[in-house]
Amino acid sequence: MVNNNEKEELYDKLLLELRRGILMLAVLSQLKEEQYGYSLKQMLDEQGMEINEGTLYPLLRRLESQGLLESDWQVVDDTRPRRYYKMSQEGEMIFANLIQEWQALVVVMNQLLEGGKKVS
Amino acid sequence: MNANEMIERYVHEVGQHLPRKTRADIVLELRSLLLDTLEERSAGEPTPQIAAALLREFGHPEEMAAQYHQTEYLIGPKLFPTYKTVITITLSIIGGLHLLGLGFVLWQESGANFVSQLFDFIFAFARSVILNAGIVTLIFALIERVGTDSVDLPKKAKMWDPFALPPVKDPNRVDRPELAVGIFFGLLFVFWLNLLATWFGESDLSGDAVWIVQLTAAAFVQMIPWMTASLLAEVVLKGVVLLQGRWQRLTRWLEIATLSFGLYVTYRIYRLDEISTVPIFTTGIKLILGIIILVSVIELTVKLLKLLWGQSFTPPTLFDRIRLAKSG
Repeated sequence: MVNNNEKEELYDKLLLELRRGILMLAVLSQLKEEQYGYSLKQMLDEQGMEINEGTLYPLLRRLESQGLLESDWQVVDDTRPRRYYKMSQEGEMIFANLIQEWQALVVVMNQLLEGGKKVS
Repeated sequence: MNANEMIERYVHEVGQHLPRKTRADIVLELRSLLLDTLEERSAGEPTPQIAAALLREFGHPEEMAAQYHQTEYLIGPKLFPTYKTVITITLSIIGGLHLLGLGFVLWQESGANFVSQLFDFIFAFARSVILNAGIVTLIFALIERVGTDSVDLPKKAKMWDPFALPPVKDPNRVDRPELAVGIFFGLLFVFWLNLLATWFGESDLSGDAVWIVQLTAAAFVQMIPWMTASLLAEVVLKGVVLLQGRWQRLTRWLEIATLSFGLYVTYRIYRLDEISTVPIFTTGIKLILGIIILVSVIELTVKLLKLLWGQSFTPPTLFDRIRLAKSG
């Protein structure tokens, strides 16, 4: 029999899987202009997309290693060095395609969840 | 401990769980991110309490480090069920052989020194379990690294052709678990064979107690290099087939050659007057060898006939595919 803890764990796992792809899209959407980790997190938080630091910062590096982002170290206003991320040219192209996919998915999902008929 | 020191300890701890190649860069970035956040939250006056709350949000150092690299497997989920089976079989066989050995020694000594023999058995069994479990794990870890299936899957997935799908009953399809088990037991047998003389053939004449267990006859010991060559040939062939992922005409012919050689070596052992120094063992082994020879002759004949008249090793040609597509 599944106890409450296991139910919660399962729910957290499913939620994590659901958010994984969306977070990638959310992060890319904010990196048309260069941002460093903390400023990006704040921007996302302010717009209601809360994301854990342990997820966000490794995700940035993963997206960079996949070629979607580029980064460099900068020292602005005599503060400590910060790593700034920005979407690469390839990232912008992929992002544009992903937005289209996302919008189509939203329409389909709304129909599915609301049980409505397909709008042609 | 002040806030900065706490941050420093944290990033150092995360760094300990990161690969050396990326460690310095990630640690530098993580420190910068933590200090930015700390500064913002403490309005320029960081306290250890604020730092501790922040670090709890970032998560345990190991958890944080784990997020930075993808999961790596020594033995991946695809091979793991086979690995578990092989380990279970291996350890069961080792347990059985050791119990047999204990029984034989106790019988020879008429039950004397029972406790001492029991301790010897436990230590020898433990040593053998660790050694053999290590060998099995090493072989499977190697297969995991060099096995073509998982490594080339993305490339294969792009290039695959439904018309080239092998038939359901495809005799040339590689049975990876079977080959892996075959390689392991082949190597294990080689290992044991070549240590038999040391394990069962030596005597300690320096002490008071002169104790000799000579199970293998001299004529049998002379056959060990032949058996080793035959087993190693089979192991190498299985390894090549495992890497190629499919039986080819050449490897099938090599299989016939290694099986024939193995049959020849088995027959020569069968013809020996004495295999073991214990006569009843010689009779028992000869009976088993007789059955093995009979089965091997049938197997060899069937394989040879299939190879000469039965099997097709060439994938469908372009013409075949077009014809099939039109008829479909």
